[in-house]
Amino acid sequence: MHRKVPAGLTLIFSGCLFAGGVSAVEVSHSHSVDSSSPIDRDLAIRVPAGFRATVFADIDGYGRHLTVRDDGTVYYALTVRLGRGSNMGIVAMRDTDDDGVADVIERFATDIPGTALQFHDGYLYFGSKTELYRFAFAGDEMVPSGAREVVVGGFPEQRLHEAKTFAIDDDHNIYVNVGAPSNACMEEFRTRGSPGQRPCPQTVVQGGVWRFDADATDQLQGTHGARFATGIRNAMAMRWSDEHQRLYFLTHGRDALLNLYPEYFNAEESAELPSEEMHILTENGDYGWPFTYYDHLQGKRVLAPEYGGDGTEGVEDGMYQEPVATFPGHWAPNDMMFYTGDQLPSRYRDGAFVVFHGSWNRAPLPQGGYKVVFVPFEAELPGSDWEVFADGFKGADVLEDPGAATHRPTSIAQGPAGDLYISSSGSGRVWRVEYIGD
Amino acid sequence: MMTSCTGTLIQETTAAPFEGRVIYERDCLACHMSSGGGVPGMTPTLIGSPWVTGSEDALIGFVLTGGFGPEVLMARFDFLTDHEMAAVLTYVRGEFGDGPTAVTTDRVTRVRSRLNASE
Repeated sequence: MHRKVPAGLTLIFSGCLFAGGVSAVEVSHSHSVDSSSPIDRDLAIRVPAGFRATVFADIDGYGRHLTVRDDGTVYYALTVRLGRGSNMGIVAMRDTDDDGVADVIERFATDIPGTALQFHDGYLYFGSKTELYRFAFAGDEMVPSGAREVVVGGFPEQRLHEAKTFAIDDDHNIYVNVGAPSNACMEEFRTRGSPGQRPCPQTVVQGGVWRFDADATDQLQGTHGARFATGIRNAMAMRWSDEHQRLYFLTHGRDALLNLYPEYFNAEESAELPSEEMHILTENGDYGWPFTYYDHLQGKRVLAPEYGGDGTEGVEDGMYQEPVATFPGHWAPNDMMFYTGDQLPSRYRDGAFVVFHGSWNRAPLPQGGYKVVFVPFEAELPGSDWEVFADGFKGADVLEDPGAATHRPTSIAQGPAGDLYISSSGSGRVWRVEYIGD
Repeated sequence: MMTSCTGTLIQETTAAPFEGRVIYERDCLACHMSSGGGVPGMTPTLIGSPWVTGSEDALIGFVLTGGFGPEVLMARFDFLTDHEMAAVLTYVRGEFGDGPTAVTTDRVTRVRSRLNASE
């Protein structure tokens, strides 16, 4: 059974449109951060009442995803972005005196730029640009002494959306995001007037999720993998939920509606659209890229302008998957996590934290995102609204230029005690967040 | 100095920057931002960029044809008229380069015709 999107969700997001990107929900929700409370300059983030955040570490590098081992060691992936960061690989961090600050920091795999990290059967899995690696540990060592193994390789070289994020289900399948190397599969990259390619060659070995055996090594995408789902531009945030028995993901929606199609879109529409979509991964599902995008203002999937759309023309029912939640455009969901611990109040259990790295493509309007939100779940679907769990990262009330952001949140992970870790990208900061009560 | 300029040059050095700013905001700002600083990790900064401070012809050619370097993907902007291209590059060089220097329409016309001839 696949229920429709809860009606309230779309309505709530519509209500925040053109109001500077801050929805009424964010301000009024009793569980959200208190938007009138000051943001500690040194800490640089704000969390809801009853929570305490500390700066766990400041790392020199361009940070990506986090994961935490059963013994509490925090692992933080570093990659290289244009002009930013020359440190790569994985940073291992321990807080041995339990003061909320890492005091032992080691690095390994420093020749690999990567993004995604997750433990599975004692191995640390690490998604780089063209390979998915795993590392074996002996005993309680922080840095794995075991040989580096390739779980899957042979992914195409690409410059855009190259991060191999992944999720592992409870049946030892690993699902790998192979991002599409363009905005909307135009014949010419982001060029006004260039039509969309049909069929889109970027969905043959990209633009979807491929499934492999999580326990096998030396697999190749073309030989051992099966395309599990298609029409996915770049699912940076992916997570299996044992409780819900489903794999969820959020994609980065396409850009530049105004720049490419000024005849159909104004600056406000181009900033707000398309929706950032949360989905359940379904075998053989088509999630609509590049032919369509989701419009939460109209509450429907529409035909992309590269393929003849005008911003209002819908698509045939049933051809594409419907999102289970939508968020404002260009917020850039970089990670998600289901909370399974006991350290936080019970209302957080089995709900989803989503980390929005923050936009660049909302200019000339102020940028949006740059926050961690919590999405309560009702059974296997998001409830009727979401709340801001952490903000302040960007260091300004109104941000026009992403380069001026102090921090950009990029990942969240849960520690063995049920506490949370949040990472930033360009600034290399990691915070620890715990519930301390009223 | 302005009084010694020809009418054409006055247009290029006074009217063009305003027009250039309008074009910049329409066609460039979405990626390069109002500050010209770009997006860290994605779009290069224009501020002090050798493309902006260097050869006019190279800059005109780059924007006309798009850039496809190892880390950079920029669309071509050959749909701009020669006059619009001159105006926006004058604005960009003035704002993010070494200061006011006019890129003339004639210069854009010459570079475009050379590129067309070489295709």
